[in-house]
Amino acid sequence: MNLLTVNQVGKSYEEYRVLDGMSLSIKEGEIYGLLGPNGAGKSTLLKIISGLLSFDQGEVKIEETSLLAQPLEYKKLIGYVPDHPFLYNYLTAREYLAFISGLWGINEKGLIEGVLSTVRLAERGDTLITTYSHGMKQKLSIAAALLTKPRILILDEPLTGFDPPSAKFMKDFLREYVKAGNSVLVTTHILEVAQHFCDRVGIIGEGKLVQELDQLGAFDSFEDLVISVMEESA
Amino acid sequence: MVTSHYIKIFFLIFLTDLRRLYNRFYWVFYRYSHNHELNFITKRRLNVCLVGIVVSIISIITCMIYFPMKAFLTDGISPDILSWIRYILLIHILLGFIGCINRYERAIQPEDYEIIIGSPVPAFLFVVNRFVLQNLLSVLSLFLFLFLPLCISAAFASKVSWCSLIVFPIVGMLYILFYSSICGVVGYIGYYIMHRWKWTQISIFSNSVFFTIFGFLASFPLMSWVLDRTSLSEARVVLLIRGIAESNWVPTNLFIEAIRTFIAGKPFFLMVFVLCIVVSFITFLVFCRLNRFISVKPMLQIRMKRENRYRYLHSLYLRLLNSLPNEYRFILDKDIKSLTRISEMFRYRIIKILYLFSLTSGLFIGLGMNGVQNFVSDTSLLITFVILSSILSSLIGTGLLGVTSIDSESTNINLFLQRGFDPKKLIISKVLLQVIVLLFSSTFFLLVISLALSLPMYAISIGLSINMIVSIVYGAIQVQVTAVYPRFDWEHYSEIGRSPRSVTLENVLTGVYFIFILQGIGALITLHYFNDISAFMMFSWSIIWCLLVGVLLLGYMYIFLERKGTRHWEGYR
Repeated sequence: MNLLTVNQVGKSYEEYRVLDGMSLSIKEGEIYGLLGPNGAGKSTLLKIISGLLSFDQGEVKIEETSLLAQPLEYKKLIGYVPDHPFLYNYLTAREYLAFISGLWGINEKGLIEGVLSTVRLAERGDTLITTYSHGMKQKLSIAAALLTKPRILILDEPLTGFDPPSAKFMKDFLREYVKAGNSVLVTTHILEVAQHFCDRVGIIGEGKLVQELDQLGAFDSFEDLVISVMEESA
Repeated sequence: MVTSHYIKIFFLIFLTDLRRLYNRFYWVFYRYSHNHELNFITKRRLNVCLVGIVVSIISIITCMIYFPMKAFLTDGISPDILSWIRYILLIHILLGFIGCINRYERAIQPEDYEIIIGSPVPAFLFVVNRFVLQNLLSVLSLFLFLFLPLCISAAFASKVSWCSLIVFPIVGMLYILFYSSICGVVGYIGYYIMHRWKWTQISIFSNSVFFTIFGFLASFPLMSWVLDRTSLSEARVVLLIRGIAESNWVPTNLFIEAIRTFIAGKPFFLMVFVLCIVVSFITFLVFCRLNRFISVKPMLQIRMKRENRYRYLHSLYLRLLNSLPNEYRFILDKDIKSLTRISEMFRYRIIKILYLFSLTSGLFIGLGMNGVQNFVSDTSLLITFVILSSILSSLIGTGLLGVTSIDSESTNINLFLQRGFDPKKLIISKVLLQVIVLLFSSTFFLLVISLALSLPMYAISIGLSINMIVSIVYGAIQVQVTAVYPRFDWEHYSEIGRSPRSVTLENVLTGVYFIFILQGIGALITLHYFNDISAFMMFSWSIIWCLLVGVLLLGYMYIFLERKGTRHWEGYR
């Protein structure tokens, strides 16, 4: 069953057409990787899906909840983690998460501690965010996204800045997350990560979905295949 | 239900922003601790120290004004003093309007755009909140160290009950709410006017013409009116403002009346107090309502120019650039590209400067035309040029700091420092760029005003000479202070080159320069008035004096920078 559906989405910046009739769907329990050359429109698409950017045409929905018709209900179902998240540098992680849960009106006891433990930040929870490394900031951003218990997590370059144990932990965590019937949408430039971590990948070129690939483990020369698709679409 | 939810969220945002400020303050102490942890005991000690300092200052001020207040209350508040208090409060509100567009812009283009848009909370709550918080902080010291001691001493002196002391902070808070909201409404209107049209060349030009005419119309009749009087002490403008301040219909007077009737123990107080609440909340609701129709924008939307339409200028610039030593060339090239491939932020700043300049030009042309008709002499020309050059240099220079300040490098500063690049060269190239752009643009603006007033050639050349010196001194100081007190970890673009310490140092230095040159020129004018020196000597010595003071100040800055060095930049890495 499709959890996220993007249908014929178009977006322009002045005369420049970034997305032109972009369509894709993500199933329940799936990790979907979005690939494409720089400037192909991956981040724009992620921002549109997460409701941060308006679009000119098309439709985006999670199950039956439409972004345009029910934006508030839609936002509750989605958790977005940008590649360089803005976090309040002069709050501690606990203060930051308390603020985000306040915005969402979440009063669940132990939730903040729970998400902090999930991303292994509980011990540094009382430290100012300004002292965090990039990887820790990413983890905190993921923790904030998890507060609303979203059905779909959207991550822009999620493994950049992680040390190997953290990257392994994050991959395991996301695997567990999708097992519960949720989905994950990631963008990455590291094709090895895409092949071994994602269930399915879509390649963007010229503002459209050029090709989708599944059964990724079966490809011997995944890297060559993706690059040739990218070059053909350019 | 929705309203109570909004109020709850409003306070949540408010308290979180306060917490950020609070943590930022303590970060000054904690950044040097070995593990960066917010140690509870140390924090408590610092809190106690801080509260102790604030309480002791309030107590001292209260003690100092207790006896005058007692005498004051015994004799009763004379109508004259009361009218002056009303006058001051009105001026305070009017002064609050200065920079309210900037403050509003800071709120509408927040650094946490993604958090705001991604949350279910309406964006206007964030905007209103940020604006109120900024205003609250700007009047906090006034409230704590003037209003509060006045009220405490008044309560002691009039022997009202201790519990009634609560009335004073409530009235104070209501005033702050009113002050923030009225400034917010003005900021909203200003911002709305600036963004009414898309920024095309035609709209920018028509807006500039509009602001020039507006400035002219504001100053020309006003000055004519003032000059029409036989004595300036009876200037009608002052009387007009005081007349407005006297009116019972001015909301600021309600707050004064509430305090006055409370101290006097009149039953009338309750009615005035209720009026204060009504006025504050209505203004606040108007401000909230206006913001519901505006959407927040992300900070720093970079848009590159797609074509280079000024090829001739570009080749000229390249030739000039190639003549510079290599180590300066690449920094200058980068900064000039940043200036020309204008980002949204920089473009906005430049347009704002252009509008401010148009308004200033209009005002000066209006004043100048009066002066030409009525009383202007060679001596007043000198003073006018000094004031005009200072205003131009301040306005344009501040706008340029987005690119030319040391802060603008942000974390890129590491690119220079880690490669062993001499930071002095970075400062020199930044100063060079600031001074050149400032010099050209202020000269252009000054020429426009001078030609509009049909000033004689000798006056224009004096004006240009003074402007050249003032621009160089101001430009160099503006960049150098950011090297002394840089802040690379800015969160919002409006903070670039505007760290509190660097702004204070800049204000002190430019203020000193401005006062010194005015004093020197004043002395020369006096000598000329008593025929001790000729007009030629007066002009020549005035220019030399400006140059001399400028050289001394820049020399001081050079030594200061040499001593301070750039080792402290490392703390920001």
